Amino acid sequence: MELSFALEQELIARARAGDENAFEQLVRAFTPGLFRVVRRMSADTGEAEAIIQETFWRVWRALPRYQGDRRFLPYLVTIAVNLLRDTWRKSRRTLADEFEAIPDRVDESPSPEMQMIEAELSDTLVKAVERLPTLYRTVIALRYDAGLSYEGIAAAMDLPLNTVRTYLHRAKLALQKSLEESDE
Amino acid sequence: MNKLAPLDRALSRLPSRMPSEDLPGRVCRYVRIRRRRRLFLNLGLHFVLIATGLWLISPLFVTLFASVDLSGSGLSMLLEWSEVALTGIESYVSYVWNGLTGLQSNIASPVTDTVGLGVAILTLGVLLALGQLLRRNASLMDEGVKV
Repeated sequence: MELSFALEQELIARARAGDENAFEQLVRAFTPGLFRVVRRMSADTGEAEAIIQETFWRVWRALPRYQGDRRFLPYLVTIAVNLLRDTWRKSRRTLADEFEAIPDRVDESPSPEMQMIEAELSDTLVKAVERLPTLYRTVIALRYDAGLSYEGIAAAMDLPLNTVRTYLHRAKLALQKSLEESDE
Repeated sequence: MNKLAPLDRALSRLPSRMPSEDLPGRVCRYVRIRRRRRLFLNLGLHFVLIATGLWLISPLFVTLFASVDLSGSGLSMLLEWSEVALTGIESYVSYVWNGLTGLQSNIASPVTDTVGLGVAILTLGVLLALGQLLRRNASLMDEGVKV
């Protein structure tokens, strides 16, 4: 169910006033979109579902402080990312660990096979994204599944804008390399 | 042309997994349960505050009730009890007022301290409970009865 911005804002306003039905309409409308983003970032479906439940609970509690002029999905995604970061922290997956999993140098030379990606490799690409370290998977999910701008990703992940650009670029290079290797 | 552009386009159309159909329902149930649990926890804490406050100011009421003459007629007893109740409320208000205006002077007397503390805790408990009931979560009480 796709909500217009006006309806979204109306439901949020009603939910802020304590209307539980309005909040549940928001849950039903935004769960699929949020799931697509969170599932891409998380280890498995169970973790994604747990994160989504907790996200909506936190949103309910934070609704009185919600700024009405922003879109709801980026707001949900920001909370979900924070929860995921807590999960990673608990499982002792740190940013440094994530980077150790990435080769220092990624071959940047263009490959002719890349021209065929759009037609042939979406399945391979999905698998390649799943193999990415969590941090890179997160920026990819926020950029392409949630459709966030670089600024939006920076805000959601609490990172400087240039760092986001770098991560995204490295993630794409890692994907490119992975796709090339799968072709060989 | 950016060599990563085809990858960019492919990523934009990346197929993604769909959630199970009952996930939104499960999320709603989860939020409902957490809200209800929080409401009851808060009300429990408020009850503890009110009970503690009443316990601390009970000596004051014991003194007041002890002054009632139980041998009188029904009407006179009723009048007397009303007077005691009014005196109790007046004392309560007076303690709140004194607590607000003359906290410094009250510290000197341990007895007044105890009653003053009781009044403060009772007031806090009552205000928090009222606030809780007036807020949006109060509607969960009805829901709790229905489920």
